[in-house]
Amino acid sequence: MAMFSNTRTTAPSSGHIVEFKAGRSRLEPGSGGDATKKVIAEAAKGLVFIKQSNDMLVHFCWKNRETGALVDDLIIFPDDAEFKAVTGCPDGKVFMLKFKSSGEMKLFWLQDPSPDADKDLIKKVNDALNKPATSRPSGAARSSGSGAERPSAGGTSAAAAGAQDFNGMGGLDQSQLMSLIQSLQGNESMAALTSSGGGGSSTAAATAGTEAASSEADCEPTGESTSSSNPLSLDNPAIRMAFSNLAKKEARGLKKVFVPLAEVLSNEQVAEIARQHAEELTPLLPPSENPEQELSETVRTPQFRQAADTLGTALQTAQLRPVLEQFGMHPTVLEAADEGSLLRFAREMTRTEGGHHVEDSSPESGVPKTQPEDEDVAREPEPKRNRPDDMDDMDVD
Amino acid sequence: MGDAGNWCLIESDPGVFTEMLRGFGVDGLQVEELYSLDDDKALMKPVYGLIFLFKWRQGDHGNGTSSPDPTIFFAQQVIQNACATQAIINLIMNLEDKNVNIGPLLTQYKEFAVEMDPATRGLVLSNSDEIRSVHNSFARQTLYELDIKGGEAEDNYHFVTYVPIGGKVYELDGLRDYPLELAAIPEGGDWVEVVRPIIQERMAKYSEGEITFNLMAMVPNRKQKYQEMLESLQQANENNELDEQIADISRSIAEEDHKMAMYSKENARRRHNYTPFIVQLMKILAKESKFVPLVENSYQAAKQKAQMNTDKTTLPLKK
Repeated sequence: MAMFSNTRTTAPSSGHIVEFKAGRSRLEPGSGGDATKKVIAEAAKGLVFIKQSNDMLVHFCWKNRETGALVDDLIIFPDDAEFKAVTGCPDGKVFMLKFKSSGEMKLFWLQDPSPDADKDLIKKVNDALNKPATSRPSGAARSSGSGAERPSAGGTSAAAAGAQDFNGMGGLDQSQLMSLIQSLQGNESMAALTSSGGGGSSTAAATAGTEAASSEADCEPTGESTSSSNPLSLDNPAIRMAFSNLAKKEARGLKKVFVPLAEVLSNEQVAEIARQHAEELTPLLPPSENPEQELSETVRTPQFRQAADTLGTALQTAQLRPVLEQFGMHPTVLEAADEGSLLRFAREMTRTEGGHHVEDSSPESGVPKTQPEDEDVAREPEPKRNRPDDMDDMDVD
Repeated sequence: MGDAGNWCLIESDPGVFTEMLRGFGVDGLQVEELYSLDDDKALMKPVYGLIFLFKWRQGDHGNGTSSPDPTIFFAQQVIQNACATQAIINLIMNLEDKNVNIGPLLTQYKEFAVEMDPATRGLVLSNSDEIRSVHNSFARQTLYELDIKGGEAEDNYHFVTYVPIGGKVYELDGLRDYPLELAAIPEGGDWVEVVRPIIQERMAKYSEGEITFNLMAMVPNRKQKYQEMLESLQQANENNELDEQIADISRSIAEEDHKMAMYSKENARRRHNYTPFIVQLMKILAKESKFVPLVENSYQAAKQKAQMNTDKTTLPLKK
């Protein structure tokens, strides 16, 4: 009884501000030439939900209801994105989450057949995204300022875009930011900063973000190379804050993304290798009347995928050491696991298991080598697209 | 809840519930997931009860009259993770059908608890080691507890059951004090017809509030039913004019066999701890120098897709 009487006092028990059943859709070239796009629904059952994490950031998430995997987890800042209906889809209710700065969009189709399911949905989602529970200063500043229209006074579009980036997250609007910079620096250096923020687009921003967000020693040089008396150095708390906000902003697109381990392991190549090692692997599977078939199917089962994703999440949140210790892993593998990097873990494991050194294996795979500093910075992965696309697999519950 | 031992969270799945019935020693029943209240195939008659699952939230209640009728067997829910099991048992306790044998374990519980009040019945149920061990045998196996924020564990799912008892439809909700009397069933009428609009209204309300829910039905063991039909058809099939129907029924029996085989396979997988397998698989991949390329592929593929999407979205949507 205790558990339920507790939860009775907290309203939506999931902690989700809004949620609705929806699958993902993607765009494909339409028949009418380059300018037309077809919206293709992916069959997987899913759930879109919006929640606010402890740090008050608003997350827009999509979970695959079949595997339970959290596929999308996007941090949205107020006024960052807009949720709206996609018109012209006759066979389903399709919505998009559109990012104002990049124009990037995510499409979802409603998997709830009841006619009222989309009532007020757009408003609820937009309210959840743009009016989070705590009052964020940015909202107030902007509404009292020159409005949400982006400035044309910024000169080049790159500069405007840069200002917009700053504008979007720090609680400062453009004029406030400009005056901050002026007060720090004087007019002559303003252009330099503006262009580095604007022209640099995601690369510059991401680098800056990493430096501000990370405490690692190798991120310090920027601070050291600039004189500490320079008001534009990272030592300046105001600049630090602007960059750290920028880092949060960039976290949306270029954050450290978990590569779901199921994506790595659930494919025909791995199934084939598993079959070749039936002797070692079959005893580790549930008892079956047809062990050969069970082994063959395993990497594609939802239960395996779920277990793999849990393990992968544990690894990439640096929580896997105690488990790996039970399997007598080499200390260097454990250290790699402590760093939370799947790639480093894979490399270390390859080394200790006596596989070829990493560099030898890359050419044969035909995949360009990943830059070391880039390895954890990947865009949100798309779900597998090998499912038939149809709208028939709707939930009617 | 402290005394009730550890009840694990289990998946809400017809395969889990159907095998759980077997585990309790119940014969003649199975659970089917419903995708529609008009799904005649899943709703094989007689429908013994409907199980409605939804994400519980405050201030949420159905409409009806509280009915402390002692002839209705109703146990209150005392612990959270057992709610599916409790809902199913509440349903079975009220079920009287010569084709259903609820088995010694549940018979014993029923006889023991029938004189008690709803709260004590719930307590007795949650303290039953036998029932708990059947329930827990469906729990997912892991070696470790993870600190994953926003996980499933935060969600409170709740089950209520709809059952026809003595000419009336009741809602049994373990969070209430008493059963809820919803409507009378007309003489010779089908209770599912009576409850349909009530459930549909509830579904509409939840859709509006974006609450997840699903619906399952407790129906006769379909294979047994089909076999009875098959036997009577075969007896009547003197001039082979029923061959087609017989073939149909045989196919349905084969489908049920297949479904049960799948259930048992899936449940074996649910109960299995895949961690040693995955670790071994990763070691093998590493030894064969496949692990790093596979991981790189995943990063690469993710990036390329993201790039592709960005390119695409720069083009306007067709209006």
